[in-house]
Amino acid sequence: MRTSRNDHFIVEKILKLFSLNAIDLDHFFPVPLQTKHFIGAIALPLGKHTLAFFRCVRQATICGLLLFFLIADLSAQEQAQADLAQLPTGELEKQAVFMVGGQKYVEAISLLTELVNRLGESKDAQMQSKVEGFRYFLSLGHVFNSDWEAAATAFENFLKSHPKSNRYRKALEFYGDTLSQTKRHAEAAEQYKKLLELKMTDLESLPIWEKLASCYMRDQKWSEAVPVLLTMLQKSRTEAQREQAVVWLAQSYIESNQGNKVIELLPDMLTKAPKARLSIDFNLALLNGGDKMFAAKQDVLALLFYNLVLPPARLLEASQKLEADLVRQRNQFIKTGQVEFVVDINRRIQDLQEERGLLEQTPDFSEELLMRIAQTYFSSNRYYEAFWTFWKIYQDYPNGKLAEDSCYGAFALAAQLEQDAKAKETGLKYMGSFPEGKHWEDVSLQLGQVFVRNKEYTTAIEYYTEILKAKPEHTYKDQILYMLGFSQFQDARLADSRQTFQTLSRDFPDSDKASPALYWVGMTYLFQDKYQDGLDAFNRFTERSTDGKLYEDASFRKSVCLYGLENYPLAAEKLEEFLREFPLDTLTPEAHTLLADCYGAIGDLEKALDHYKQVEDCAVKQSQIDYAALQVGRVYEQLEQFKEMEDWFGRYLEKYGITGDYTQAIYRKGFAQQAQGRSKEALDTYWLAIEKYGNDPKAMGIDIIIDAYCEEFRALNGSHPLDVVRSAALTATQQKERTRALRCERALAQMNAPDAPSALTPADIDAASPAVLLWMAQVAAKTDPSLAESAARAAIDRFGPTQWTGEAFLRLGDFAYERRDWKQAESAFNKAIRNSPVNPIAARATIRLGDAQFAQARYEEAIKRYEEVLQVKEWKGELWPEALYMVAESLKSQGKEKEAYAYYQRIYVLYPHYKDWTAKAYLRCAEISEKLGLKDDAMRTLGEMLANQSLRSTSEYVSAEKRLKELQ
Amino acid sequence: MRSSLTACLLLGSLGLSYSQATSETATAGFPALITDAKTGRTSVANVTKLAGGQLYLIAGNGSVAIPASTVSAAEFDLPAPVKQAAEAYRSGDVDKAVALYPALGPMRSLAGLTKCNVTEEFLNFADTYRQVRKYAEAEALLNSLNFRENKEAELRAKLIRAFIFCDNNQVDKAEALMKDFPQTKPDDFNFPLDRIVRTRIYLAKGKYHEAALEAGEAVAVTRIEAPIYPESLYLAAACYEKMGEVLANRKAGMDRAESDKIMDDTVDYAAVGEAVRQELCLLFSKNYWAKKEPANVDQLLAAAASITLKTGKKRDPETTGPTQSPEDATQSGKKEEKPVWENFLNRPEAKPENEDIDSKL
Repeated sequence: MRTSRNDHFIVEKILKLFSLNAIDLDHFFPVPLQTKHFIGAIALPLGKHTLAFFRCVRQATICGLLLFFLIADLSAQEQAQADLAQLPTGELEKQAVFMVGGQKYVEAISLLTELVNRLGESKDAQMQSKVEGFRYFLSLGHVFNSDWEAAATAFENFLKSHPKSNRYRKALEFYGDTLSQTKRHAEAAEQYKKLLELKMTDLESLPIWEKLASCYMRDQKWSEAVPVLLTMLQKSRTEAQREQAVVWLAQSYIESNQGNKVIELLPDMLTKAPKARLSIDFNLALLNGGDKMFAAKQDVLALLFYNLVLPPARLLEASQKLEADLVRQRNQFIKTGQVEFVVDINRRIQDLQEERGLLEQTPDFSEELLMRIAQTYFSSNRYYEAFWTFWKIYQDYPNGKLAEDSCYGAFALAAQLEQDAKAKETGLKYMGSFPEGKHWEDVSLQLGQVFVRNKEYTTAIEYYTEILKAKPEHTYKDQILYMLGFSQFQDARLADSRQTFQTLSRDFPDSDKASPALYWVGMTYLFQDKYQDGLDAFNRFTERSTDGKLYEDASFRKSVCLYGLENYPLAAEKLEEFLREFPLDTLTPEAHTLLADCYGAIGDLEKALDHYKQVEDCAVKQSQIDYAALQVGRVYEQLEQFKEMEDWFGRYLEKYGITGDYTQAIYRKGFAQQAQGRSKEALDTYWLAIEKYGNDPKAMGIDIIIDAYCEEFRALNGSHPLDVVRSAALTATQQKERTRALRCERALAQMNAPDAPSALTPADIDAASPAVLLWMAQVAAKTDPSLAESAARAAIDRFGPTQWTGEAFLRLGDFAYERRDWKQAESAFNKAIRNSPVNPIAARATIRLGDAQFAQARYEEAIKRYEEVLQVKEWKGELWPEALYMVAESLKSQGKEKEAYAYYQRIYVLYPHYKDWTAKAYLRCAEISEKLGLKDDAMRTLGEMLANQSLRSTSEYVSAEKRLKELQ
Repeated sequence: MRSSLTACLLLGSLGLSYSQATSETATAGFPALITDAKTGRTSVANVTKLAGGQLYLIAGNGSVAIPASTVSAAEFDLPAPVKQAAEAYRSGDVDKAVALYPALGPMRSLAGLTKCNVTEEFLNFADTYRQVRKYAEAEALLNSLNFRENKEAELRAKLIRAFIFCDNNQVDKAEALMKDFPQTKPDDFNFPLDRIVRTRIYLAKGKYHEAALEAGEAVAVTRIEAPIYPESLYLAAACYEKMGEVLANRKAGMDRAESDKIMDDTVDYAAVGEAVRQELCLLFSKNYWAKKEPANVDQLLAAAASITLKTGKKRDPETTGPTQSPEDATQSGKKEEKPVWENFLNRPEAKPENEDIDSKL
């Protein structure tokens, strides 16, 4: 049979794969088959010029041969196994060849050992050539048997005996590998070093460098590993090779304390498809490196390390996947007979298993790692990242060992960062999940502080009350009482607040909050206008506490109390002391203002002026400057220094422009001009302001200026400026300046002009100023109550506290009253009273509050309200007879006719000029007399009433006439 | 009337579909596993296009059209370059992805299908353009897509657009887009980009505390390997730097902004910002965001060189914050389980923030 050149090539390949030389053929095959032609003939039908087909060919050949020879020589083999020593060498060789050919390396060990023993010492070159093969496969047999010691010895023998073998290089590498497997890394390294001295390409040498580095790393010879790894890095061609070198190098640097060099490698570690980074050893080294950096206060570097660490679950998963890949590869290599690769794969699998074993023994550090990251963020003031990391820990490991600490950390940082929603969520979670937690009391206190910060005082009160119920002996009870008292104070529960602070002061005399509690006791008195009690409390506080902000404040408040007690000279003296003691303080402008008020009250207007003027230099808020500036204007007014007053406001307007209270200042400037008899200039001043700012609803003083303009115009010209205002309204409407147009319409209405206002719509609410809104509320009250109510509400909601707020609440109360919505009505009237406690609006609101209570038959409460009106001198006027009448009505409704009679009587005795109330009161007195059977008294009362001709216009007069006739 | 997809497919294969028969010559089509919205059953089909609410499937020598609404999900066998592009996109290799994704082009009409991997890949494609800052291409691609009623896809497209607006300094437009955008959770796919966009909007509006919260969450929750991580760090650094500026202004007596109330003036925010930037530059030296405003890292490297990693100096026990280093904690953990968070924050002080009540009575 002829074979072509290609066929011959195939044969050579097969022989090579069998690791046989042509010369060996006569020993490995029966004589008739000892030719290349035979093998070629087997190979040819399958022969293809690809490696895969070579492998197929070889497999097929081996299988065929094995089958043939195994059947033929079955009995001989059995015999050989029974007693190898009895077998002739030729037979042993034959069996060994078959086994090796069938890749039964392990089974071939005994045969090959016997052969090496018999032929190893032979001096015959041809025999030594055969022995070289036996030794090689014997070594491999031990490898496949995982008998690394024996393998190492076998390879060592091979290398000694066959230094010129063409398998020498491979055997040397295997020898290194087996030594490495037996943990004789230093010896293994020596073999690899020898190997690297041989000539080879970068491609061939790179794996050897890798193995050498691995030996050094396993022996923790970091300084020796580093240069090897640097060479590896230099020779690496692919991203994966580079990543491997970088990762090991980083690990070596970490272990050899070369922190900066590690950092330089970081960008190379973050490859797009990390593989080497998945090394468990490396990740543990990173964790260690992070800890060291953290301990050395290098937070940035610690974070770099920690953040690079992969979670154990991912490492385990990657390790298992990698091992599965390697096992697959190994099977493939075994199938294809590439045994030299199998050895290396075995080594890598073993490494992986060892690493994994180590990781599996190590407790899962994922939670701990996150905690370290969180701590590092916190330590480096990166509170935002710290907060989210703590929260992540808790969410990911709600039952973990760090759950409590992380939940607390998240809460504390959320509270600090004013992430109040999160603070509430984390705080409540903590309190619910860790009722016995070591931070429970901290959290319970701080969570309430979050409510307080959000001004949710009612919630804070309920919350702290519950906390104290749950833990009456709370470690921070003093602090909680303090917060509770503060919340009660802010919620205007002044009596409760005082009681809480007094309890705190009494029960916790050593608490750091005991003294401040006294301050707040003083504040509760002050806010209830109990100035003497307030003064005493502040004195007690300043006796105990001599520094701190509260001390300063209390010192000031004492003067406020003295002012409230109308002891102006002493108040001024204390304020002068205060200014000497605290010349530069946030309270300085307030002190100057109050001092000026005191001097004003005792008539020392020059000093008052001086202190008001000092406010400007120390003010922290524009509102302080504005108030003092307007007071300066008042003092000038009282001193009748109108030129100075005009100049003062001129300067103020120039300096502060529209940042200050410019409309008030313009109004006051115009007023000063009027007072100097320069009405025309005043009108110009007003009109200029109306033109300039009239279309801005936020320029609230413009409505006052318009009123002032109309009044002054009438004073100057004897008639209302109806045409001027009408014209302005028309122009504004044409120019679609709705705010200005509405203002003009309001002004016309104020002047009782016959002009009907334009149709008011909800859209006008957005364009209207507060004064206009109140006018709208009045105009629309009957025709469109809904619009009217919206307008009143907008005066509050859109502009905040203004001089119109009280009236807006009063209107809202009236609307609610009309709806018989008593709760809303009372609430609105109360707000109107609180908003402007001393002005006529409050008086009217108090009456109306009484009316609402009267309507609900809550007569005693109603009487209190009416009497409150009667107690304020400044409210003396029409409201007093009304209040008296309503007290009488309340008493009468309770069946207390006699008492009621006295009140009715007071009206027509003391306030006869209030005809309506007088007439009503007469009639009621007559009714009561009649009811009590005192007909004469009734007739006398009615007669007295009818004698008063001024009452003739009242509706009650006719009723009185009729009744008197009936009685007669 | 909704027709059963399975029935359509069956009838389609027999050429007797009761759905709209077309005379269109069937092209090769795109093999897909489609799910019938009614029965939930899946079928293999060759899909040619989605047009006018009809999904065209190859049936025999022609094609049948079924209402797209009868398909609840579609999983296409993507062309090889698209698969590679998808893999590259997910591993962060956007340069490779951007070169390969155009192979998706012929499937454009299918982006309107519900729960469809083609839709996802188109969005990834647009996001790839975003990541390589080819904004005009991203915009054009998004404009060419019709997501029909796919709300999730619309949201993601909105996010990509908002990002582009931010990067083009059109923050108001971005803000308008994000006005009703639902706040994403960390496990949402859109989470990182959502946080980035929100951070940028807040930063541009001068709301630095709010911006820092968004950026902080992005940094804390996202893994370091995520493509968005460098930008998150960049923005976090910017937030801290801005807070530093606000504090400096406050110290210089300038007015306080609304969001600076929360800032702690004991913190050197400028230094914190610098540290974040250093982290960015050390980790991602070649990244666009690291190069944008590089930080000086020499000092840090010098500091690192001086650290004896083996022994590590002990932390000053006086410092606030964790009193134990993790190393110590690990060591002492063997002896006694000590809480790391002892003294994490000082004992809470019951001082109301708004204690300064109005002194004007």
